[in-house]
Amino acid sequence: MPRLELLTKGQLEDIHNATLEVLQRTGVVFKHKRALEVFDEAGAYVDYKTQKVFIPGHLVEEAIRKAPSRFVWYARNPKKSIRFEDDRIHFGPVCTPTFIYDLETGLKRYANKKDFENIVRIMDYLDRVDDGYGSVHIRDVPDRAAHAYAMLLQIKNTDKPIRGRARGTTIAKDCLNMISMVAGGEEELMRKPMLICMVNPTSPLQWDTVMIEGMMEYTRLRQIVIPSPEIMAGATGPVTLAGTIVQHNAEVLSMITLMQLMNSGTPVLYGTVSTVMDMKTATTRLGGPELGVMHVCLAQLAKMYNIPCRGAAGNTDAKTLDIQAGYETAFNLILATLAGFNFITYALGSLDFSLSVCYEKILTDHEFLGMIERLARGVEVSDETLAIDVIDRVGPGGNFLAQKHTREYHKKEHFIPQIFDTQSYDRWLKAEAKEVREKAREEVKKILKEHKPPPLEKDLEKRLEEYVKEVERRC
Amino acid sequence: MSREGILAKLEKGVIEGDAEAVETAAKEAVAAGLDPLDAIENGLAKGVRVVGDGFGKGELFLTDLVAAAEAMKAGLKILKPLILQRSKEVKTLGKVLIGTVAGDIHDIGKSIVASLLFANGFEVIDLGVDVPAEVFIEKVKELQPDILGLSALMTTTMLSQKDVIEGLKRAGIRDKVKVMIGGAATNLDWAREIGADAWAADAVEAVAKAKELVSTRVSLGG
Repeated sequence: MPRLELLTKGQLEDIHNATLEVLQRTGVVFKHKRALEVFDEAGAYVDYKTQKVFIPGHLVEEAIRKAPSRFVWYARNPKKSIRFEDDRIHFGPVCTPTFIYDLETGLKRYANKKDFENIVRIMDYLDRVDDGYGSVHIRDVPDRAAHAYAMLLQIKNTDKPIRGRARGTTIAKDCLNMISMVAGGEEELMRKPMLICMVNPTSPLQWDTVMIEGMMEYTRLRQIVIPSPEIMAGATGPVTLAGTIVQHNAEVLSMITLMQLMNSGTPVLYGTVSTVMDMKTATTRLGGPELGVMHVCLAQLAKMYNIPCRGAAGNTDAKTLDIQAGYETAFNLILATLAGFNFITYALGSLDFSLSVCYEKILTDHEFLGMIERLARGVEVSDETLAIDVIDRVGPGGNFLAQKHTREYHKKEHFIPQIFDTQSYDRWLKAEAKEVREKAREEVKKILKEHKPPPLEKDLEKRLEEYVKEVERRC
Repeated sequence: MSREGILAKLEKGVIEGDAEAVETAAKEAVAAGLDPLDAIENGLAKGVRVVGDGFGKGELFLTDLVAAAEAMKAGLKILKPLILQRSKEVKTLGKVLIGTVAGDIHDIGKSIVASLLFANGFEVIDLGVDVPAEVFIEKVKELQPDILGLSALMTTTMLSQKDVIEGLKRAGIRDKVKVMIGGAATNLDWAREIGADAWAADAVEAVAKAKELVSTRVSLGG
């Protein structure tokens, strides 16, 4: 599928050069002594007092070369491992919102363990979803154990690849310890990375201690790290899109440079969640068109660097599952797909600036991903699909319904919706005139009732549960 | 120029976010012998209220609000010292101490609240980000604000909001100040759980709640 490009080669080079200048002239703050030392040892200019690093261009360009251009995110079930390379596209759900719209009452509330487990099971079931993340922040367990529960519930309820958390050394180590049990030890884990995590700077140009600590643990074991700035253009980045793209690029490359200095060749996805700040309401416009437009440009940069990339598309700033939610979700998902992002998160279930999960939207988004997939597949042109023999056989005035060719190719060529309604008006009326949201809700309940997650060895399950209890016992 | 003329210039300068124009007008006010309190209340403050209201209604932009606040501060820099010489005080709706809690370096939301409170006539002291609980408590003792505003953006740092309230209790000064919390991960239930006096979803609501807090005794009914 041809890729959408908004920037010319010359413009990409301008952005890259501007980025190097920012890194060398303005610098980036790394609030972590070891990180500063690593940069210092490598030849960057480090001001230990202000914790600012001024990174010379050659270090950045070396790091870009070292970062692998293709790697695998291994799953408990090897058939479900996914490959990040070229223009292969994978979809995953929204990342760690705090709230959820209750399936029964429709009211917004804090999310809990049961929600997380439900979402993992739904992700395990849906076939256009590539990872099994449970999305929500679990609030009905002690906060110090939320990440451990997230790991346990993912491992128990899906055999797709799963995500870990990286907010600090302890949290990162716990997640890595748990996944090591699944991998069969740290060495196995290093050879076949099973855990992915996101780290975010506090823009502009600052990396916080906890994020750096988390990254260091993941990088030590060569697990996949995704540096993902969420710049709000006009507030934490320049109001111009090109300016925010430059700053974003500087933030990502500064982290990639540190990662490659600490462990050469460690896998990294170039990430983005950057968008604009809405200047009337001071909100982060994750559903806005600028997100999609900058996504396309950032993907071009990542592909120029030959580093697989991660996008954040499928968000909406709408607070209910309404038409605004539809437009915003669709717009950015289409752009991210055409841009060729290798991993598109937030692609299912996001509402309310990604602060809330909507069960029904998981299903409607999944349906929409079918349309996206149809786009990504393009048009196959072959003797068979050109079908001139069939055209001839049917002849003028005939029809194609009875043709063997039609039966053979129908399911391969057409997207077959499951919950979007395609009935004629009268049939729809007779079938209780359901809106798609209702059908989505029914589908969610059906999945939760019927879907059995893949079994986990009892012994492993027990060890993981023990680990979670240990984490909870810590004070 | 007449008093009305100078006041109008001060107001216009603030509305347009033109710090230089405000500085010039402020100097003119001084040269003309105007009462600095008059210049502040009937010139600068009028202008910033217009912008604050416009922002609250969704008609003006954050960029307008920030520019207006900066312009007003430029005027205050010249006029305020003269009031202190005459030992009067600028009337404000109340004193607000605000900051982002320990472990959290997110700044913007808190700064927007600070700007809007300032535009609405509050005296605001911004303690910055990653402020330890002990510092909040010390500053409450020292500055005796009417309201303490605590911002936390992350689910992890939300807990620091609880720490501050507990710290105020231990120091025996919980009843001396009204505590308002906010931040994307918080909600009304959380505010009730930790014993805050108010919760606001955004800057506009923060101003409304702050006005309630300084005028009457309100509880977290909703």
